[in-house]
Amino acid sequence: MFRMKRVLKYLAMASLACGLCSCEVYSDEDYIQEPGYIVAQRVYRVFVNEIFQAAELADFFQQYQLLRGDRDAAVRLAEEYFRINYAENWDERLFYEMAEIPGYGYVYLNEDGTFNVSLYGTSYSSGFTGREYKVSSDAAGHFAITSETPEDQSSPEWSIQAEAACGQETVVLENSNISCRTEEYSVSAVSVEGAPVQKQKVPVSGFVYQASAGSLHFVYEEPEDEFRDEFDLGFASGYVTVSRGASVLKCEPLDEVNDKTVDYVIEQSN
Amino acid sequence: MKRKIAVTALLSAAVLSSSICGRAQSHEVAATGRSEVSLIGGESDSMRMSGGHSKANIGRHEFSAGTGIVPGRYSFGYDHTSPFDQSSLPGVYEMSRYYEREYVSGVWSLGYTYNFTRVISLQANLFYEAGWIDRYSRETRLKVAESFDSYLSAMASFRVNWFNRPAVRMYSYFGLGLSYNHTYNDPIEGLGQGQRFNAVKVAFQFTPIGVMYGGRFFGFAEIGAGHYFCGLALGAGYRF
Repeated sequence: MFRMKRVLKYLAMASLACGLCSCEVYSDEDYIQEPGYIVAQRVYRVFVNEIFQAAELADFFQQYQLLRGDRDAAVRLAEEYFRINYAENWDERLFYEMAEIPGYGYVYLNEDGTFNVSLYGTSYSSGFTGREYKVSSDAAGHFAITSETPEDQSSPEWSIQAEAACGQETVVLENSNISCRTEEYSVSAVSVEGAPVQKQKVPVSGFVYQASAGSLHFVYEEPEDEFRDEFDLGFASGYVTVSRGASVLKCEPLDEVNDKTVDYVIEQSN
Repeated sequence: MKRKIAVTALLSAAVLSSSICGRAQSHEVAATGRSEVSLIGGESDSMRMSGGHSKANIGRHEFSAGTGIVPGRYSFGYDHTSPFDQSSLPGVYEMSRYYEREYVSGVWSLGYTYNFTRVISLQANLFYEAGWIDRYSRETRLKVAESFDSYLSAMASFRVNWFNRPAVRMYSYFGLGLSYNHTYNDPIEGLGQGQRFNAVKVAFQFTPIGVMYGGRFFGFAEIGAGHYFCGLALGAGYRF
């Protein structure tokens, strides 16, 4: 009898183990899929974030030109603007016509007073590297930023026109028109009237990746399949929204490095 | 050929070790004067100690069945290929039209152990594990594709039983073997059309701690890592 009890005990243990070991381990059936969120992640990472960086580099270098003769003040400006609180060898980075800023890239002063900006690059897809931005200024802190596909490159193609205003605390994209095209698809992101995209300036809060206000209107097309998608991406502090008409999805904030591809919807409202 | 060499080497090591243990037991018998039946050269298939000291009644043969948490191949990653190109935006849109469910069969083993001595054993295991992903259309809710990856493995292990008591034994083992792998990945909307692949892969298992509890019927629990399981294994068996 005792032996039988032990046999039963062992069988029960084995059965419990069976139940634990064989099962459904993953399902994304209940996750809301919003491909527009992933499109927005990539466009923001490759283009919009760089427009903000180009604006701030130009803003810094514009201020630097006013006091570049005072080396100590110039170095202090660089360290305060970009919140660099470690010893940096500015003798190798900060010149009258060129500056290399750690974590950002290069800014050059042209003879006509415009700037060229070359960023270290946060491109996600191959082919989108090596963007050069031309920045011109019509007033202190106000910039026109453009970038086009190099002549020797056929795909992917891109075109960026943006106006940015660097205030005391924020950088505001007053007008932006971003478009990129590959052999398979095209996507554009333009400013929404009355909702300029804005982000806190580096000197105020340190580097912040995602904009905290404003909207961009996206259009995605696959010409061969005659497929088209349109939506608005709204920015807020700590999240973004993807809107299609009356339907609004509240989603996780945009990621600087990797795409979130599942479980990014926080809330859905129709 | 390589398998034969490996098995022969394991058996040789086991016999050599057991002969050393047998000689040690002979010395112990001579020193203490207690009489015991040794497994090596003995006439009985079970070892008992007479004269008032009890030792483990282990038997020469053991059959066992068990399962592992977490299955070994699952821990190392199945060979599932996504039908979607997530690096491209068209691939992202296509992926959004489907959902998937991933399953694991768990790992199931049958084993035979030959106890050369109380200390040295050789065990042979056969174990099976599979993982699969079913993909469905979000619009129709119908299954449209499947990815499947399975392993049927045979392994020989050298086991050292370093703690022996009447009801409890503790041991460690290391095993090497081969797995027959069968896998396929359907293209999306191509259920059953995925090309089938078969391959033979090496399998290993290292279990530093295992414990058996019982007599003729016993249960066991192990902690280890390898292609059989990574974590905990449980099971039961019969020895004679």
